[in-house]
Amino acid sequence: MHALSRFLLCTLCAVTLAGCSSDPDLQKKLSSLPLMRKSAPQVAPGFAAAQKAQAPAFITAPEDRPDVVAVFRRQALSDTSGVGTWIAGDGSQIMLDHGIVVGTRGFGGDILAADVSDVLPLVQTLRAGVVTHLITQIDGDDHAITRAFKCEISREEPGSVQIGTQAVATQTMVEDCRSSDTSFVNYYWVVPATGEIVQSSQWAGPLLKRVSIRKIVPAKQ
Amino acid sequence: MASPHPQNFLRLGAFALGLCSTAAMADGISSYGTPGLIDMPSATTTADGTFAFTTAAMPNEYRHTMHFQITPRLSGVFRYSILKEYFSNSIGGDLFDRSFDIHYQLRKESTNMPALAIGLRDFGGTGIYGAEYLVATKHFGERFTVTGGIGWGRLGSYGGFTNPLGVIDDRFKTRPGFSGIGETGRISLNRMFRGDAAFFGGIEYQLNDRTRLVAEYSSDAYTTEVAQMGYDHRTPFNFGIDYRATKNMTLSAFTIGGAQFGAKLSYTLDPRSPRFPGGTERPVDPILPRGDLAALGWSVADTDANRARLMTALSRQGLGLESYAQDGTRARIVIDNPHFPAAAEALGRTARAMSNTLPPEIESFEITLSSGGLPLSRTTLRRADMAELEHAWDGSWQSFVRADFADAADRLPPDAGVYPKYDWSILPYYSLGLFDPDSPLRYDLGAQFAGKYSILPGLSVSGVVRQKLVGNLDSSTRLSNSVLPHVRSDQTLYDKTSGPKLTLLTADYLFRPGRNLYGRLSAGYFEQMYAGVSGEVLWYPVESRLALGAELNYVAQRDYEGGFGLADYRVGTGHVSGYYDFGKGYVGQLDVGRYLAGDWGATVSFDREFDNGFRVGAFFTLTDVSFDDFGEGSFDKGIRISIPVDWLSSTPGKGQVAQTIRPVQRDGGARVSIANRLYGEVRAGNANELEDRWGKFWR
Repeated sequence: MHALSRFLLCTLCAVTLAGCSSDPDLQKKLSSLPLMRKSAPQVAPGFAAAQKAQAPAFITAPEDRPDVVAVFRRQALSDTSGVGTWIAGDGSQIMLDHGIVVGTRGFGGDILAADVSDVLPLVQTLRAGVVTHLITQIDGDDHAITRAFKCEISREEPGSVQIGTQAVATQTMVEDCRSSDTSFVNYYWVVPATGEIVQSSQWAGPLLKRVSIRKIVPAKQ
Repeated sequence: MASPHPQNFLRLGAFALGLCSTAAMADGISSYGTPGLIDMPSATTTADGTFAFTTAAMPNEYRHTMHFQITPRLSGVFRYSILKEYFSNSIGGDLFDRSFDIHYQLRKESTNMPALAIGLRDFGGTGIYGAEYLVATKHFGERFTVTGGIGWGRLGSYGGFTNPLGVIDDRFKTRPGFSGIGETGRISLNRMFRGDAAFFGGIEYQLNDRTRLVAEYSSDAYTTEVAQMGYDHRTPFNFGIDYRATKNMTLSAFTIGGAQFGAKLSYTLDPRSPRFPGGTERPVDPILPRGDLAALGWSVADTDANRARLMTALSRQGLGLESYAQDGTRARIVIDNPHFPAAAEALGRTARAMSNTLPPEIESFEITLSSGGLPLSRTTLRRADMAELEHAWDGSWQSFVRADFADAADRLPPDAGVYPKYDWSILPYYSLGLFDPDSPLRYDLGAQFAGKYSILPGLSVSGVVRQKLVGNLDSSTRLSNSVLPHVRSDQTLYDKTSGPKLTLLTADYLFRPGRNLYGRLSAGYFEQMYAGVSGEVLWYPVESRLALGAELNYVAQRDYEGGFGLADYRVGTGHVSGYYDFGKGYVGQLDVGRYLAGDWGATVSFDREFDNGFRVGAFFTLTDVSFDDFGEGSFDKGIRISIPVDWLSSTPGKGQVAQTIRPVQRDGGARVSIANRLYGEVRAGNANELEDRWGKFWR
């Protein structure tokens, strides 16, 4: 746009009590105000790249809003920790350590990291036991706060999960966790032969609350 | 894409999440906005660091209170009250009253003993609410709370008896009256705990989660209200009901004196509880495995390409790359962070961008934070630590421990093409005029054009022009009666201009005179009322809690028109300043020097500062201007609140919504306002500040 007409448009914006700026970030904020013209939401570049690379995918839904279903693609797999970072079209991320949530980004009240090194071996090998599960969250004062949970892992009924066109036989594992002020129960659907978690229902922080996660086999593009 | 089968997938919502939240029942807030029953105080406190905003309405009387729990035991109150027809018997009209209270819990409640608190109500105002009390409160089980106390002043006006403190000194038996407007603003030590005393007390009963019943025996006879405002006082018993409508909002209805009804709304706000803790900004790309990077074949020797990749990645985060250099296995950069109020977040995002864009041979990252090109501090991070700690449960703390912080007295020269830079914005602005008895809330709303042209690191020209669109600040007719030079009290005259106003036009040079030292030279139009020249130097080591500064200004008062014109008044002012971060969010400041009216003195400021940037504080200034010459209020003082933009919006953005509330603005103890005083400019880079918000490093 011509510089002068942009300037005039901005003046008009300010008059309508919105505003604008040379700063793209501020501009983005301003354009989200009610009176401003909306542009279509952009797909996060990281998601587009993962989509193009046909990276593994899962779908997820917050359990208090089951109508909101999002596809996440794996963006990277850490060679040091084995944790995968999965990204949604809006750029928000969920970190999974072999299927267990160990991080979230972009939801508010995010889980920064977690230690599930005691949980995973039991869940993957379908064994019961009592273990420690550490979760570090960011709080309202921008502090990283770690909570230690005592978790009881037990087996439930075997079942099956539909992945694409296949019904996969699974064993449900339950993880019942408690800390001094918080408690949650996670469910994992595990393929007995491989130990892979193909579906789960997990606690993912105070704002996201519970999420359902299921592996999917996206169609080739 | 294969469509997911909904069977047994979303059904899990049925499993309830057992978040144990045995929310303790909050204690009551009185019509005075302080911990209490209906009118009577109790010995409880509110949660540390929280606000309680209360509006109480009674016939012809409105009390608007802001209560802040300064420490776990100490709370402070600012109150603005309107008493209609207060002067009906004499000069006629309404009373607009500002009052301050202090409430201190002497003893916490224990299993067998009650909590004990002492309080001063309206200790520096006209004294219409002036009272002191000593009170005890004990909870019995989860439902019953019993309070009893002894009060003086207004709280000794019903059922009073001879002051027991009279045994110490006969003077305690009488309470001197209010001697006139000249006395306002002083701490009325000569009246405290004097005159008749009386007992008061009450019971609270928590009926259920939301409802509480309150009954009190009040030692307040509402003497003035009965005599002048048509109140009736039939009984000392007051009754009320509180209803907690939401987690933060309580509505109440109550009776006063058996003849008046009142209603009250209380809203509590915890600065540590923004809607989205940690923000909802779009995250960054995860760190790519080293092997993947090696496969890309980036050449460590190709500095330009490395720089270009990093610059692209940083600019996607809203970060500016000012300088890039490589030195063996180390990459050294200077970044400009115009967005992230938590510098730790800027560092974390920069280090991850470096991890993903620089050749694998680079082992360490040296990141210099700068503000307007002025280097603040230098953080060195090991690349291997970034990959190792990215998903570690204690990665936040570990990454802080392993980072190395140093002073950045010098910086790399800016890369070609970085300077000059310019920024501009057109935004709405507001301006408030508070507490004019003719109209307690006046405002202006308009558009503000701001521009900044940065010529070289630290050297810039900035300007702000405002155009009022609507508002009524110009309707004030109260002209200053100050006997001092009118250095601040002519605000009304400045507000009369309706055309565009040059609010700021300055040339500034910010530089580093040496290790741990910062310097600033400014010239131009600093603010609405003053133009001139200003120089400042600050000593502030990067790991220090203490900072020391000195500032000298020579300024001329501007005329009322808002253009380039100057009035006749000229003055040299300046201060030496000490700043100390006490830790746990308490920050103090002392400024000693010469003020705008040529008066000499000192300003003491104390702020509670939350790590997320939310600030609330108070200040007062005593100078060699006598209380009588100062006029109403006796000396300059006020409270201030500053809410960071990212607290409100939950996405990064520097700046804050700030408001200073002075009971009255006079001419003594006034300072010129300068937009970029050094302490505020450079503090974000200090290691203590970085640590405070280090939780943002991995956001």
